[in-house]
Amino acid sequence: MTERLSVLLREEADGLEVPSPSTAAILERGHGLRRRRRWTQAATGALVAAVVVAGGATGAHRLQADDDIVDPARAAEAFASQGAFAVGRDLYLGDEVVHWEESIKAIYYTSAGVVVRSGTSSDTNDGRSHYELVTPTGARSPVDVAMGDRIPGFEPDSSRFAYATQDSGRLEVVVHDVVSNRELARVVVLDHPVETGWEAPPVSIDGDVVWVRTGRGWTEVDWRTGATRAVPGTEDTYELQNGHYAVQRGSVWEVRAMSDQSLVGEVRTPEGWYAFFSPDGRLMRSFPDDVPDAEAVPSAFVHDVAAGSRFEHAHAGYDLGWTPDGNLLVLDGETVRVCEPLSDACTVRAFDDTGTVRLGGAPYES
Amino acid sequence: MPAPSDEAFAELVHAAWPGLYRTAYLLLGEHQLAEDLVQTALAKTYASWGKVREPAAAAGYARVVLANTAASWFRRRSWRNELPSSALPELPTSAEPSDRPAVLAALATLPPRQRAVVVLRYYDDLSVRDVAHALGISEGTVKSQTSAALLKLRAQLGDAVVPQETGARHD
Repeated sequence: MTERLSVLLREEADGLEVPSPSTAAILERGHGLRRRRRWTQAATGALVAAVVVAGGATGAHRLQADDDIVDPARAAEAFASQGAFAVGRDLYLGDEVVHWEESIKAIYYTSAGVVVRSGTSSDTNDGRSHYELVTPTGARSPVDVAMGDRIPGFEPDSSRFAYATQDSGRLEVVVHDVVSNRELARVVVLDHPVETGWEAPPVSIDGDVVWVRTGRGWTEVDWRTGATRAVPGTEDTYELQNGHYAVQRGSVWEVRAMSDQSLVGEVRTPEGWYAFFSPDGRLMRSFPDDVPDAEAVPSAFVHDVAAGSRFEHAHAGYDLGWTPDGNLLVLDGETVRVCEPLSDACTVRAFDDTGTVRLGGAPYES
Repeated sequence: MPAPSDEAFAELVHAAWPGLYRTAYLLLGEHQLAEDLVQTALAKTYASWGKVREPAAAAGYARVVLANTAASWFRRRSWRNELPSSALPELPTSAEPSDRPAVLAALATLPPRQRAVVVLRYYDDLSVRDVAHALGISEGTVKSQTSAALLKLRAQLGDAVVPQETGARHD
């Protein structure tokens, strides 16, 4: 019989020095696996839900992959690392999928979640826009603003955003809080409107300061005190984020501080490429202005502004967005890849829906 | 079942870890791989918590996941390159060295699936059906693999450890 073999095996096992478990590592892997499984299920569930909506259900349809109660901490973590994108009328937000009643036009990051801009068309220039805050757990609340054709300023570490308006015949900057859905400030910058190609000029916000394009350069506005000043040397830029602006000098983009115009970094791109900031301003992504072969999928570079380093994302194309944490979102067929900005490490998120794709942190206002 | 809290799952990890680790080490014969296998099994258990019928069954579920994961590792083409079966096993830290490596050395000469069958049947005391389920193979394969494994072990460890009349136990 084999009793002796069993005894020897048990003696062998009992004599082992067993290391302590790394509970944190196991939980981290478990959370990651769980997220991936929920994603797969959620993408499938979105199609089912679309049928429910067509059958006459009304109101918000918040979809979850299973019946679990959403843990806010995990949802926030998933949102920060995976970001958000939309396909047609479905918003993919961290681990959650939220069905929308309108086409999604753009997604802006805030510290409380995303603000979704939607309307009858996914084109930002087509029709009225509505705005709603969606938290990482999928909860929705209205953001009562009427911004129209203009470029608002958001920052991923704040619940406030800013936009400009000229509806009163003056150029005003408005600061709005998405959590309280309250207008915090309205500052008159000029007693006349300016011509910029939009209904009102673009703005950028960083804490207590808002910058607005006024004619040939940018004007800094302290929205708490109402103080304003023209920022010198900013005539040649529209790229502004987190208190930094980038000016293109040939194949070099100089990144400078709005506060004192000091140089904070340089981004080197191939000749004729354009660059956008990440939502937190630490990174830029660059891409060719023009591709001779229309079928070709160009590469993109991601640049670390402070370090001056860059990484080439081969054939990443033009459809690129960001997560709030600064990972790159790459649209690749029927998947969205979430890639570390300065390496080729990516995770893939598949979606089953059809419709226009909008990536978080990407500019869609023209 | 709803997902456990991190604290509750950490308790399960601490309770189940030693037993799972010992099984993993006997299956693989290498500390780092054993640790990785147990971590993977527990992480999968966490991610698939809905399949666990009740908290008390979680450790048993994790053991099945562990065996199943090991079997999937064995199916990888590169597995033999990663862990040559002809190599002597890494010597465990033992309170009483004596002749213990002999059993591990004999186990190490078995092909991975035969080794798994022996460990699950004669260490974890699983039935033929449970071993088949855990490794994703038929009960007939479990029996034939057991028979072949015991033949090899007998040649190395002697009749005293693996007698001639040994048949398929736990049927």
